[in-house]
Amino acid sequence: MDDNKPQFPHTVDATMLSTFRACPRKFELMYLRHWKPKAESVHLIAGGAFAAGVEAARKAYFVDNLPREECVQLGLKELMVKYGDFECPPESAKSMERTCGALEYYFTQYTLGEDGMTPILLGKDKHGIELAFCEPLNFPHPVTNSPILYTGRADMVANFAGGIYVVDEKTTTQLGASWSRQWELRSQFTGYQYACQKQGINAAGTVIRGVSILKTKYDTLQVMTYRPPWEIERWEKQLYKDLGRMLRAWKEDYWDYNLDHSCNDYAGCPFALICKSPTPEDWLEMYFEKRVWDPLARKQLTVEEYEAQWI
Amino acid sequence: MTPETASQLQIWRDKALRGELSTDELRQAIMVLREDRERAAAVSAKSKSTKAKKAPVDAEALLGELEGL
Repeated sequence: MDDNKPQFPHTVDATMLSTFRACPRKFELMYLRHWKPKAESVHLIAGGAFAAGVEAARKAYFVDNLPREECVQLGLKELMVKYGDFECPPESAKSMERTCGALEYYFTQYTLGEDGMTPILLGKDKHGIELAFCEPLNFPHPVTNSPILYTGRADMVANFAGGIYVVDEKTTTQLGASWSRQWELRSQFTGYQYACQKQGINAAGTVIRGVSILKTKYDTLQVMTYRPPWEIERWEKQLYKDLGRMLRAWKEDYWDYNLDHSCNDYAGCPFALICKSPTPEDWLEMYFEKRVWDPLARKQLTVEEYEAQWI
Repeated sequence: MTPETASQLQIWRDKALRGELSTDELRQAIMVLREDRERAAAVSAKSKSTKAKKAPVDAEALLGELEGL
């Protein structure tokens, strides 16, 4: 095999698939060549820290049965640690302090144990908090022949309103009608329901709780989105189609460019500079570094460590 | 958020990173965040009600204008 040819992925998740659908070249750079921007995104840092805080508070309340106030305090501590010493850009509202404020606000709006949500129990003492899944797909890896794994992690799977729902928290800067509408076809949530189904959990839908962090206030909005069986089947069919396209690109060693809206969506693609250059390698070394997030081990690995575990 | 609250939270964050943040300080942190949020909400509500208050209509002046047409 060509020494320069990257490994075909052994696992895929919603973010990887979404990236591949938007721009195969971005997917190649990010998940096959493992280039990640050196400058971390405030949205990822703040969102990750907020999620860690909510998780810690929920575990303290539902697993360790601690008093509610103490649980929120533990959540706050976890948030501070996860946010770490990251320097928030001055123009962003998602500073460590504001993110802490958002957590305090969140638990006044969705009081632990009083918001009608209780994590499901899986077995004797496994709660549906930060529920990870790893579903083998009917798609063999081109080298190892092992099934490609579909991985993910739901913030919570809970009993709510007479059914079982996947719960996902999103931090944002703006809530409104368009924020609420964007989840209706979102594959992340169809994937959650697919994974629940595979694990024998009959999830009725997903509850998305948005928390907006602004410079002067916080706000929240809770929306529900449903996936009937036919939508899950269609999602699965599309997943295999996309994996097929991914495999063809890998075999051909050519990854299509989007060169359109995907280059500018949200804050703009971090690789736009690379695609604008006739010598991308020079810029990659300067602004990016190679690291891999292992979704199964939940930790950062070097490319060598990551690849070694699959050979 | 007041600069004092922000800087106090940074001190607590540094302590949390060193594993030195006490339960008392955590309790205080939640209290400070809550007070800060409630203060901001009160200021915002006051400013909205001030903005919403319309100048009283001077009926006599209006009539005068109409008569003058």
